[in-house]
Amino acid sequence: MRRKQHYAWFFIFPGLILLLMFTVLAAILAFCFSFMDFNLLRPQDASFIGADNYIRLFKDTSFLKAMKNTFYFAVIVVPYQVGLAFGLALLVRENVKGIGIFRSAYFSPLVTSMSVIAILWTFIYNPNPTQGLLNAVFAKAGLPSCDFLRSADTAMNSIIFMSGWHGAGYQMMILLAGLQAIPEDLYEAASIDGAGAIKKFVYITVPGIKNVLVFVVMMTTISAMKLFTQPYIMTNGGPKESTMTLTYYLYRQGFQYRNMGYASAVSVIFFVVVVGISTGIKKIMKAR
Amino acid sequence: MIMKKRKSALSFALAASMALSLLGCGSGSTPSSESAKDNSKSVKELTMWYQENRAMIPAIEQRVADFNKTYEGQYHLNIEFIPRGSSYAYEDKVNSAASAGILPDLLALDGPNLSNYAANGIIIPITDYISDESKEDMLPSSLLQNTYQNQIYAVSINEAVSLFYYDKTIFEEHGFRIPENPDDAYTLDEVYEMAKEVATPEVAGIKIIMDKGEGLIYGLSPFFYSADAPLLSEDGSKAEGYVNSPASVETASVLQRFFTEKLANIDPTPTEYQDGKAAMWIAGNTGVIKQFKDFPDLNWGATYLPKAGDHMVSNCGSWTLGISKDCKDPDSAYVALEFMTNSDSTRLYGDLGGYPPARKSAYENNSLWDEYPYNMAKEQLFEAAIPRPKTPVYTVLSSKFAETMLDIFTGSDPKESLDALAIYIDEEYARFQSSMK
Repeated sequence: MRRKQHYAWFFIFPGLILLLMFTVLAAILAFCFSFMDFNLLRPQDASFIGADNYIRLFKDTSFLKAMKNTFYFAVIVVPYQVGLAFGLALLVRENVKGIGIFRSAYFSPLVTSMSVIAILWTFIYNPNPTQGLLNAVFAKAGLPSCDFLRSADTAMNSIIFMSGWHGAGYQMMILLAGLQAIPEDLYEAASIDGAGAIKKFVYITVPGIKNVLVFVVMMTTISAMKLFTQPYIMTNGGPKESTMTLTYYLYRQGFQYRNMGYASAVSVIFFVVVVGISTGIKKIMKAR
Repeated sequence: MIMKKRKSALSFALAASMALSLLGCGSGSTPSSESAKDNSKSVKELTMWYQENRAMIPAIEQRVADFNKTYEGQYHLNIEFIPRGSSYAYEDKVNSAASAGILPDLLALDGPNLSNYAANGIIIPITDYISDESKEDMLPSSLLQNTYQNQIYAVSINEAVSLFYYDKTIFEEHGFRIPENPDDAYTLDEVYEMAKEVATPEVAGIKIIMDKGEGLIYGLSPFFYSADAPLLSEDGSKAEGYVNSPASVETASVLQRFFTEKLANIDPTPTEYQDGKAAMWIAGNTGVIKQFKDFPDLNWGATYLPKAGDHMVSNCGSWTLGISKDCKDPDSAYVALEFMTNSDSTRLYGDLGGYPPARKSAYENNSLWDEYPYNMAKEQLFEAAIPRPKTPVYTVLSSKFAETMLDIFTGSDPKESLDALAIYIDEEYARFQSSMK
């Protein structure tokens, strides 16, 4: 038995070292740095400044905007993306001939990295009808052109639309696995009892997939909170900081402006927010 | 039992090799000269980073090869080209390498970043290495850019200047005049009128945005200076009253019109002008002229930059080469720095890459810079160039300026946006000052 434990430690050793170094240690360091004036380029001059970074944060309109934008993104994108994924999962659930093609098609955006997708969508969203695909379609249909990423009113919604499109395929796959795990007998029994499609959905499908759904909602929320690539590549956080998010702000302060201490304070707040949200979701879902 | 021992030895070896391979990832990409030194005791290995600039790579590679040949058996220079993307990817890499202490021996940097890098000790002063003769030979604009607090920190690889490019066919059709000398340069209002006249749904009047990072302050600052609206106070310590001065707001408003009236695209393709999709191109640098031959349908013409006030101002300043704080042997590094920035080198960067040389002697017996359109670039550089602001918070200024101008171009109020920019830059400067104490 002891020998077996010995082996277990042995095998988790590399993973454990990495986890300690890049997650636990990094988190502890970030927490310490958040109380320091720490210029990335002059680590030797870092000095303790107490809660100054946090005080500055809550007066920093850019940070507050980033917080608001991040929540807005999550609140809209989660139901939209999960709903879309659920719909797609229901569509591709039946084992009819050729369904594999549809499953792959819905999943395919995920095969390409977000950076590439973001650049492609920048072209699609180009406000000039001769260059942007969507505006070209609008022009053909006689509709006025839309500025998409270049207007503070539409930029975040444009990002939400493409993000949901990109991510839904993955959640669809997980939900599909959940749907297929629901025993066929239940539906048969319900049919015999005279239940219609809606009743079957409400009383069999939904309860049967609840756990998977909780998982999917939680993962989508957490990844939504981490929104970075799209604003980084598509909008640089603009126009008028309408697509500035917490992680992008953190990156900008830490790596572009080199204020590591301040960026660490942002990351600590971010951590608290994400932990708070995930426990919240778990509690709400459990209560139901 | 033996089997078991073997198995545990095997698993240990596996785990160890995994751990080693992970560690290896870190040290493998370390550009410091340390690891290379062991390979050969007599040859000193040196490392250098430069941005992945397509126009310049052949010339830089040739000079690296020349250096390695000249100093065979003594020094060996290894160059790594790093992408800059359309914003600040190169600078991000330098930032993280600086904090990790793994900068290369020779670090190329974009000129206006010099004050910031010098103030933060990323590059070391090299004044004592530079001979009077060499210093005398540098272009004044380059020397000014490379000096911080009376110390020289780098030597320019090349210079850069924007010209105004136009579509000859369109211009001839409309009968527009072509300026013959700097005093005669177009005014921004004139450019606006021309753009209005030529713009069609398919062809933009003008291309103004070269990229959404440094390119904005590089490309647009000449108009602000031309309108007597310097972006910062002369010592670089104050933005309030400068970047948001009435003249500055007026210049921003004039530029804004191009976008709000759809005469210029906010998201131009990289080759919008070359593809015939823009009738004029206001920014860029002379490096692009060499690339025009890849576009046989392009009937291009070039003239001096337009002016926003009563006199034309040119931009200037380009990549420069310094010795990093992580360099273990600055004496050796300087040998390579000297070679890569000497008159022959900077001349070759001009000949192959199309950028103006950064040394006076490189223009002697050099007919290229007396030929159209390079002669105008030379004239602008020698007579009308004003470097971008020198401030230790330049990185913040550059990216905030870019963000602010993009906001203005997409409809934000110029006065409000520039006021906010001034406050932000001054706060950042104050923080920088207090952190230096």
